[in-house]
Amino acid sequence: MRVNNFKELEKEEMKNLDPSLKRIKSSVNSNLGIFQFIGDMVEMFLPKLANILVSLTGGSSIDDDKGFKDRKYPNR
Amino acid sequence: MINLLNPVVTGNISESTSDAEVIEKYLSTGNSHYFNLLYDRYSKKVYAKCISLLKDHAWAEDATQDIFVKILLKLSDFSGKSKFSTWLYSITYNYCIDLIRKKKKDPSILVDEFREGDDVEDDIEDAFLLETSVTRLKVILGELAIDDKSVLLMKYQDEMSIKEMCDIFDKSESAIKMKIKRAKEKFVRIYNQKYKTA
Repeated sequence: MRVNNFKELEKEEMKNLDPSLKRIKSSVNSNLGIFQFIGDMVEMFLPKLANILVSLTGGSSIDDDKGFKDRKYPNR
Repeated sequence: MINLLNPVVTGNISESTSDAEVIEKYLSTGNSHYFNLLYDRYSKKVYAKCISLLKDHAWAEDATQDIFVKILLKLSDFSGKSKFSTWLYSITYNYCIDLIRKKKKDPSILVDEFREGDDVEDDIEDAFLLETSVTRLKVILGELAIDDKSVLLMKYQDEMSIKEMCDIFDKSESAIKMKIKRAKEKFVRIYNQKYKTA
């Protein structure tokens, strides 16, 4: 097998890095949480925003519950 | 308890699962466990590379964090044409080179040195570099400019192909070969200055 001291150097440089990595991981995870939160917010409010824009431009908004609410006896 | 709460995660993924599968799972479920798995696999190498290139622990810590956030945002762009590790390391090298360029306010890094050349015949044996002792490697690589050091690490440490390096630097094959040749010449020059004079 061919000697490769570049690989040995890499192994040596990777020793004793764990404490810093834990700190970095918690920062990355907090970023991950923020992105997920923003994504959830967009998913939740974007359809509403689209409806508002449609209403403002004179169209009729889509309301999924409308038919349900209008029925006097919805379970029939 | 975790198994009951998260059967999808623990049921399908193990240490031997390929990176491509983990990425696919992350993109389809958005479950952070999959991203953490990638982090656990590569963070040590990325951090070690950042320390080696930037020579500053605080910078390297910030850089590693930024690189993983970048990966998080760009993961859907990963095409799978190359290995995930190659893609990750390419982002790491480019990030560190950009950072040095900005800090030193030296835009010439990686611009002047990537010149096309007719004579890219390489006289220096790979074995000479590969067999240089770890202590000497550390000293010599520490004296090289970041772009020269990067190409040598890509070639000998990460074992990237010329084609992969062309994609990373967006340069032609002959420009990359010329860059490697010059980096090797500088390596030998420093080696001779340091260890051959006595």
